[in-house]
Amino acid sequence: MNVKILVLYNNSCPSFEEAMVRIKEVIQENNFSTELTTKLLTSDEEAEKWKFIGSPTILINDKDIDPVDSNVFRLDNCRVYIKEDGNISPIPSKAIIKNALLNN
Amino acid sequence: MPNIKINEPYLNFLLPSTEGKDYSLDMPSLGEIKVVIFSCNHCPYAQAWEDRIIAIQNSYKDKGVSVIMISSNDPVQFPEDNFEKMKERHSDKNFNFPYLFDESQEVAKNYGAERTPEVFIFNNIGLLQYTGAIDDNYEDESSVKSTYLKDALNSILADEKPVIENTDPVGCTIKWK
Repeated sequence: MNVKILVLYNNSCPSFEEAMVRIKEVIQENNFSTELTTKLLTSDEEAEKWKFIGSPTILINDKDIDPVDSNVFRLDNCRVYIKEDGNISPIPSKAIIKNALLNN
Repeated sequence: MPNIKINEPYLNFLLPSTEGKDYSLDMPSLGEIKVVIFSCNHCPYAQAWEDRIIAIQNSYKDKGVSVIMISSNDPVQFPEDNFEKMKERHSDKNFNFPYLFDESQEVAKNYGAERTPEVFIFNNIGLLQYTGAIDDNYEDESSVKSTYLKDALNSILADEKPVIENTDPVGCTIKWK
């Protein structure tokens, strides 16, 4: 059965396309069977509805790949991911994406 | 789009720093070459580049270069960027440059800054020589191919015009009130 990947994003953070490239690379490199879709959010109301804490937010079968304990949902926010070396990035590492797919 | 064009003079300001002192660009304690960087606490792009900014200030301090970092974000929408949190960030990261709070957002508006981080470099007579990004890879310093800020500083220090004067800043939007 295909795993459903949904990428939520906004128009203000510049890393969406790079995140998509990375997700597709992980899928190809690991032969995951997935259904990859995207959704552009355009209002704070949508951000609230989707519990969107920043762009890009990646849901695998409706679960955030890197859950954060936050109840602040804002459209115009870029997501913070922490890499394996402890450094900050606006997009998740391949390892975060792969682990989320494996653990789904 | 920056409001200051290449070879135009800096727009001065007086802003409070996280260390309790007010700063303006004509202060004698600053180096002749000024690197004004609009940044903030919360943005992952700003955070990803912070250590590189600290390293650049370290490397160029003795060459008369001063980094001045400014946060203009609305702290109501983004409490992570309020003045108290800025003070904490300065302390946590041990910034080796002033971190200023542009509460009215007038400085960002006057400069035409739009992103965090966004760099403006002024030469020893206060004229804009470079504006844009720090380098071409926010995520991985070891993969950087073009060190825009450093290259511009090296050109200015050699009394030459930077080869690249403008790049598109990459980062979060400044959060306007």
